[in-house]
Amino acid sequence: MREPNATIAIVDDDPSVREGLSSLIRSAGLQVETFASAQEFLARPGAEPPSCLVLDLQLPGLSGLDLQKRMAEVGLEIPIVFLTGHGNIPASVQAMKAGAVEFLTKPFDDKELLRAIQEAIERDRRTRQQHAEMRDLQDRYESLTAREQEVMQQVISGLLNKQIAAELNIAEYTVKIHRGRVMRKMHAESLADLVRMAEALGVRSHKAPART
Amino acid sequence: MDRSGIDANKSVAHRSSEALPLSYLQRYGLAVVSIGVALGISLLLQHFGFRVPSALLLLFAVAISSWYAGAGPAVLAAILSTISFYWYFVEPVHTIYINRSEIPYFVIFAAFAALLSRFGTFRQRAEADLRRTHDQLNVERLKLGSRTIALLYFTFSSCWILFTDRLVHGLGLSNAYLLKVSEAKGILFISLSTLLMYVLVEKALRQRHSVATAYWQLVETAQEGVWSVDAEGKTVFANENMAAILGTSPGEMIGKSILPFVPQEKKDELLNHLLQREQRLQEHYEFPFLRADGAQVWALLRISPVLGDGQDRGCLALVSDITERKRAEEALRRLNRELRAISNCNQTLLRATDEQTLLKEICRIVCEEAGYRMAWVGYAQYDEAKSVRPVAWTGAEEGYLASAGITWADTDRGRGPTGEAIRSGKSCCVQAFATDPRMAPWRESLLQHGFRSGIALPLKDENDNAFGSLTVHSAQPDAFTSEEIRLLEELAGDMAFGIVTLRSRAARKRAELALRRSEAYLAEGQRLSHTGSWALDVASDKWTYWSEEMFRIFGFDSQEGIPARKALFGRILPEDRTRVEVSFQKSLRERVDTFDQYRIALPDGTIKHIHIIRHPVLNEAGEIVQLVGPAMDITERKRAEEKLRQSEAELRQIVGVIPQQVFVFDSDWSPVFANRRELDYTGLTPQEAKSKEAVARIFHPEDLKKLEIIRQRASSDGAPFEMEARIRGKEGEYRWFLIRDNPLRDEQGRVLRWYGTRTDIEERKRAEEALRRSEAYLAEAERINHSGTWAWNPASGIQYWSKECYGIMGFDPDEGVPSLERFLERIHPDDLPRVRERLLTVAREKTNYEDEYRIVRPNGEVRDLHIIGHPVFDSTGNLLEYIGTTADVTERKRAEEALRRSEAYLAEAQRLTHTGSWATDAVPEPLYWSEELFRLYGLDPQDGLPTHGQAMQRVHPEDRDKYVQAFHRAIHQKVDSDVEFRTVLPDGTVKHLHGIGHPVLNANGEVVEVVGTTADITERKRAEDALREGETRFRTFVDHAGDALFVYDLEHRAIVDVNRSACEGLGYTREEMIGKTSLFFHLDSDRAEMESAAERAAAGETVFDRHWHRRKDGSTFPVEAHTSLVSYGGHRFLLKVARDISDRLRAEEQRDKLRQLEADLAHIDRVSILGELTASIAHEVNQPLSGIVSSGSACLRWLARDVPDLEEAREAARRIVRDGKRAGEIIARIRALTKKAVASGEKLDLNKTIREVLALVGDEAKRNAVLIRTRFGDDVFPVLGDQVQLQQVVLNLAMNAIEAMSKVDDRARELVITTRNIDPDQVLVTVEDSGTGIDPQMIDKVFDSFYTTKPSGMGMGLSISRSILQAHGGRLWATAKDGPGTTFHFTLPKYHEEESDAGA
Repeated sequence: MREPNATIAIVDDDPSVREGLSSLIRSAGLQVETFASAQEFLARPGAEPPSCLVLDLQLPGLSGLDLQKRMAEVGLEIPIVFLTGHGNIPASVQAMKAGAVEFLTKPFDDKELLRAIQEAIERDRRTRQQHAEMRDLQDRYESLTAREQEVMQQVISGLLNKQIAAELNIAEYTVKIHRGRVMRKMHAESLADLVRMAEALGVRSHKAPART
Repeated sequence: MDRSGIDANKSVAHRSSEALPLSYLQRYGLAVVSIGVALGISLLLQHFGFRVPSALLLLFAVAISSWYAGAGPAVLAAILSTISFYWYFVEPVHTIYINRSEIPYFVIFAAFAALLSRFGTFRQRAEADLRRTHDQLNVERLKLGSRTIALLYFTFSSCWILFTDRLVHGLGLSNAYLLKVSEAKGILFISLSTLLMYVLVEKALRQRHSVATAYWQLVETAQEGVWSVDAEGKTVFANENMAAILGTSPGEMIGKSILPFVPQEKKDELLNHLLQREQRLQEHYEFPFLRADGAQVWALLRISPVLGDGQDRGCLALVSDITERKRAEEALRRLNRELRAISNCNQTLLRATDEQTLLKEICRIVCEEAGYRMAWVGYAQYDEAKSVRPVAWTGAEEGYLASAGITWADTDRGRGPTGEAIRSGKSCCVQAFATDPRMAPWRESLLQHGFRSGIALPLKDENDNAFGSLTVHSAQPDAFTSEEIRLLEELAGDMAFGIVTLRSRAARKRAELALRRSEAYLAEGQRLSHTGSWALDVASDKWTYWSEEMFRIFGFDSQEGIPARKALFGRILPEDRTRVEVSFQKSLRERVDTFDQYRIALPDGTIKHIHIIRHPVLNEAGEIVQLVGPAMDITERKRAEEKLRQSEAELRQIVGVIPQQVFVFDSDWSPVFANRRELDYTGLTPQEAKSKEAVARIFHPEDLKKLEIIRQRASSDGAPFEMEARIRGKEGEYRWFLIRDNPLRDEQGRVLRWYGTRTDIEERKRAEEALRRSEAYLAEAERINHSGTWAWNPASGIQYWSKECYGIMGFDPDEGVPSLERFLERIHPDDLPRVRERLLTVAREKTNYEDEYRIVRPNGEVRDLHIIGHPVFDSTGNLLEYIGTTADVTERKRAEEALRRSEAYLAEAQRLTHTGSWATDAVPEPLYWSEELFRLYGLDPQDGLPTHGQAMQRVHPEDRDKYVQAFHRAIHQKVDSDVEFRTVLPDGTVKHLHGIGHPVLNANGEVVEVVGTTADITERKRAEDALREGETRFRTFVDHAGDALFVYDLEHRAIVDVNRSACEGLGYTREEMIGKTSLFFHLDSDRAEMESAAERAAAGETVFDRHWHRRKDGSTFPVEAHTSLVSYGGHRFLLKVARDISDRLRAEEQRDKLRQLEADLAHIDRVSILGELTASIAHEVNQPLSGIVSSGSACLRWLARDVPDLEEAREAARRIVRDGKRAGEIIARIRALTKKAVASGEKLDLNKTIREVLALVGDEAKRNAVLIRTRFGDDVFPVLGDQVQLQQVVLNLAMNAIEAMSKVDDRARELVITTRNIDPDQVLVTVEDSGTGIDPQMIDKVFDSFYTTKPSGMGMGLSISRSILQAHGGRLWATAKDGPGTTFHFTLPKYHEEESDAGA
């Protein structure tokens, strides 16, 4: 949905490369922002992060890899397409390990670059979507009352209503009501669905450690 | 409460006798315990349900504390009870809160507690009073008071309890325990306690009252004073009698110190008696107290100590007044003392020899024996202030008299007893100094000295006038009773008598002494004046008195007594006797004074002249009783008078006959006497001569005025005078006279007479006039001649000097003829010894004298003098004197000197130039030869001019003809001729001479003289020879020179000379070469070139070239040759200097090879660096390439759009072009570096050059995270150099720096390049890094070849860099930085415009 006007950030200290890249990417119908150094990029104003970062590996001061590391530290998840003047295998391995989309050697093929950018945008889109789902799930979980959360933990542990009632020292009937509410509030269609959600949320059965 | 006061007293005393801290502990303990008990009971009662008024219990406890423990504990108890009351009863819930309604109770309770504790102090005070005074009644009174207060308190407190209970009840407040108090029980309790207390108090009162009253009455009615004193010396009690004794009231005394009543000095004694000695229970003790009015009162004290506890001791004394008794005893004692004193005084009076001792002694006796404090004697002074001078004193004077300033005038200070006594002559007694108004001026001082009363007793002389006073001071007031006064007056009277007696005795002694002395003086006077005195009794006609001198005068022996009148009369010469007798009788008869002079003849025949005066002495009846008078021996006088008379007569005779005229004038110039000669000359009669007008008549009118002036002056100063004057003779002619007048003076120096003489000096005057005239003529002549005349006697010095002599010698004529020594001083020091010597010689030999010498005038001027002197002898042939002239010949001398000097210069010039001058006549015989010429011919000027023949003898035989010829030419051809010839000197020396002769023609054109000069040219000849020798030497030198020399004659086109090197180099002999054309050893190929070079050299250019020479054997070798034109002797030659340079060329070749090798190495190094840089360079190229590719792709895409975006496409294309160019530039730079370029010099901008290198290493730096910084000077000079080589140096340094920093992590990696000018023509470039640095020890090693620290380096980089810079005239060095890292520096010289020319 954001593809047509996705923003691509270019970080390269060489003006020739910067301008060439910018023109090339804009010709693909994407918005472009250019930065001459990593610091300049980090100081970028605006809340919405770009969808893709085209990053030169050799930058004065903070290098491309340094920037990647720094972004990981602050939790900035922008897919990165690395560019480098001369292929440097250890550096490329490190970059890819850290989750770079592509590692291109200058001078690069325009199609290859644009493909990499497209992939990055796609990855960014997916990431954003996952983030949105996760937030939704969390919102739902947080709408549960404390008792309901308690009941949910028991349920995903696989305990029967009766067992839950005994555990929580309440009536079985009450357990049922809680359980129904949990299922409804969490939009869970089945117990398996609920268990998956719990896993996504990181909610664990309190009994789980005891069993292992 | 239930004990009597006494019991309580005892018990308190008992407690107090124990140790003090324990006692305090007990008392405070009692307070605490009683409160505790009250509290306990109250709580106990509560606990068992009994509700009791706890407040009451607590107050009761306070009361107990106050009563038995004292004030401190009572206060403590009050505080404790207040706290308890509040804590336990008002607010039993244990919160700190007081119900408002309960505040009144609380306040009232606290007030009562306080009141109770005060009550304790009342009681305590009363108890203390009781202990100290023993006044039982007082004690009872106080006790009664305190009991009453106690009673009142209990009553009141009981009422209060009842009232508050009721109040509380009435208000109906809850939470109050008082509500539960049983009213009935409370009332009952209080009533019971009150009743009990009342009963007990009443009983005690009744018991004590009777005893106290009895005591009280006893004290009140006692005859004696009753006095109680506590330990601090304060009066505790005193009854009315006691107070009366001390002149005060009991109220004034009680509670105050007793000290005001005690005399200062007795204080300690009294306190000892009263307070310290407890063992004396009853003591009878007499003591003088001071009453309040200051009077003394004697008291008898019977003292009993008070038995108290250990500390509180006092005493009780019964006192009775015994003043009267004491006073009577005192008066009696004093009278006794005074009687004793008077007796002692009388003894003193008898013994006294001088007044001061007497006064002192009496004062002492009065003081010590009569027992007064001070006694002194003052004498009245008759000065302006009428002061009294203290002359003697004893006792406690202590400076009092000096400060008292007592007078006997009728003033404040004169109205004291002393003044009064002296004025009135009556004794004056002051019985109380403290009160008597007369003593006001001295009171303070008197009292301070302890004087309380005094009496002054006048001391009177025999006329009953008081001349002083004896003043006695006593330490007691009212010390002088009438009896005592009488005794003291008697004493004073005796004393005055003593003083007067002493004084008159002294006066008599003095008078006797004076008389004796005056008699001695008289006798001495008579003896000296030869005057005796006598007295004759008329009645008996006998001498009653002869003084000593009388005996001496009349020649009698004083031992035999006064002689009879007859005996004396017999001694008078018979012719005088009658006259004496007559005048003697006349005195007797007519009773008048008579006097006589007569002569006596002594037994030894001496005649004496006696002058006697007789004076009759009459009695009251007018009858003559005595004749008295002096007799004087006037023999000496008489004799002198006689002698005078004789001499005067003689003098008159002399005056009459002397040839001079003699005068005597009296003091006002009236003529008194004129001698015969005067009268004869002037023709005046003696009478005329004695008239005052005589002078005016005979003196020439002109001289008369002068005479009057002189006489006036003489009259005023009385000095003798002398003058010359013309006096008219009797024929009327005037003649000159010398007049001398001398004064005669009397003893006072007044002029009595003027004695004068007149001497005829007419002849002398005339002679003088004639002489003066002839002298004037002479002087004028001398002045004109600058010569003076003189006369000199060797024995007595200069006799005469004419005026001109003074002028010449520079002396002042007014000072007279100078001494010989002063004259000699003028002579020039250099001449002086000679002149002295000469003068001595002349004086000895008596010959004519002529000399010349110099003198120095006072102004420093030097003059030359010429002296001529002739001796003059007397008839016997003795030298009288020298007479002569002194002429100033300075000017002449100077002229001579100048001439001589110019001759000397000429001679000197000739001597220096070895040139003589000469003249001959036409024969030619020499007329003049200069000195130098003599020398040249080896002849002696002393021998006179040589003849022509003699001169010829000295000429070298070979040259004689030439010599003669030369003269011949000059004389006969009348032309200047010159000739060189030799002379042979006697010692064999040969001189070369050059003579020039010039004929001198007369008016007829005939030769009269030949003049000329002859110069010595021997030296020149010698120099010419030396030159020739030098040439030979030079030849040798040339032959031995390393370079080949060729001399080529341009005219003859042939080699004229070659040196040995030329021969050896080419393999020809000298002979083979000379005469040949120069070109035969040149290569044929060079021939044309050689010819053109020769032409250029012939034109004057110095030609420098290289070409080849061929040897005789055909081999060739390269030479470097200079060819230049030389000309001498009118000929032109080419001089060619050629050097074989085959060796040098070989060396150069070698060097070129080395340089090539170095360049190759440099290239290798460069390439190897570039190899290292490859990755960077690839990146560098890659960047623009990436740009190009991207921009190209973009361009295509922009164009391929549905609607092609041409603007974007164009923009992209433009970038492609730009980036392409950039890539090209980079490649060009790399190529330039890799190119093996030949070094070339060009003008370089160093900043630009370095910047280009940095562009190359930029990427490498980036890869190593190195920051490159440049600090380029804006005005850096351009330099001359090879860009590629210099860039290589910078590249090298930059790469080294980057590498050095690649391991650095702990600091910034910075490469700083600086350029700046340092000298006027130097540029400095520094390359700094912050890398690992270089060991300072090794810092110079890095420039060595093959030294490296890099694993991959060749170790050539810095070595090559250094040689590059050296080739550029620069330097390269390294220094360690202060911080980490190394700095490389290199310098390059500034580019100069001319360098480019040189390089071209």
